[in-house]
Amino acid sequence: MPDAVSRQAWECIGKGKANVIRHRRYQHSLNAYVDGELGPSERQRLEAHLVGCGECRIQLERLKELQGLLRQGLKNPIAEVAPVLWPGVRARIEDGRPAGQLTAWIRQIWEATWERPRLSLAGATVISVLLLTTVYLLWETPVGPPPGKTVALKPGPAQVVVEAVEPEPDFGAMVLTTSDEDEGLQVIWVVARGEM
Amino acid sequence: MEDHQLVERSRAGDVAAFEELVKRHQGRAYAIAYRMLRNREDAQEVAQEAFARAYFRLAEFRGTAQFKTWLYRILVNLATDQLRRRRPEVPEEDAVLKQVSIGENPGENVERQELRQSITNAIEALPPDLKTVVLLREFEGLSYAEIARVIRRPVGTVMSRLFHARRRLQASLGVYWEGES
Repeated sequence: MPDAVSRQAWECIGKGKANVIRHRRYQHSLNAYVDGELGPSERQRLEAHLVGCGECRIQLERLKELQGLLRQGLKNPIAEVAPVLWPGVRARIEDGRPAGQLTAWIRQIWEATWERPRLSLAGATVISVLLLTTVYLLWETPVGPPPGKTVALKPGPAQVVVEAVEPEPDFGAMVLTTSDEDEGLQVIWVVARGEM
Repeated sequence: MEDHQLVERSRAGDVAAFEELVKRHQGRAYAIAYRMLRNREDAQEVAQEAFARAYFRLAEFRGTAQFKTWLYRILVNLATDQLRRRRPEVPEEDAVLKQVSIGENPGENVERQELRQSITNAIEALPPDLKTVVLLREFEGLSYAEIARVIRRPVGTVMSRLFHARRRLQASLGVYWEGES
């Protein structure tokens, strides 16, 4: 069946983008019309269109014929004679155990994941970015106070400006460099862990 | 007794109530499974498994839905999984149909057999998602809303899939009406 609008349809609906779009919409609605799934107003609009559109009328007839053909051809003697299923079902029930709440919860998430793959992918991406950001921030955070921050060192009440902080893992200590502008001195503090 | 009453009893541990549900729906469940799988043993296996899973999941069943559509959802998922796992092979139906009912008018039977075979082949050639909506609509007579619940997709998706499935079937089976029009 050609997808392009045929010459017959052009004659019926007239040229013009709006008419073609409308015609296409009606073509899609024909299935719902045949299946009795159209609302009253949609049905009326489609029936009005059918009066003037030969292509849609032909398509409607073909759909009805297809439906008849399918129903006639698929009266299947094998499919219609179902075996007795209960003994097999009962055996499965007796062998199996009811799924626990956790299993049911996991299954629901699993099913939801496959039902909405794009949403799930987006959610997984957001979670991954958040995790990576958290790990990065934790990794980059210095152990001691940042340079330029005023801290009180024990013991005593003195206030000093820390210019640099470097860990000294071999000695289990931190080395802090401070300066005293009044005296023009630079002081290096070695602070054992647990003293800060 | 209505289905939802049997479901309630089954939930409370009444196995006989569930047996009644199985007996009530086994015919349609088996027919769907058979039409999807075209093999009696596989269809029986999948239908039984679907009922057993339904039993164990009764706690998840919401009273707002019909038991039938809820069961079909489990069944269709199982049958689709089976189809994906299965290696391509000659379906059992092709061989079995030849042995079915040679009646008083052999000519008519052959003609009907040919038609059935053509339709079966045309449906078989559809992708699983299109095939499922056609079977649920044409053979089970489910409404668009019911099909949407079974396949867990919006009604618009059901309409779209039916549109494309029927177009393909028309193209495959066109020979049956081209001469008439």
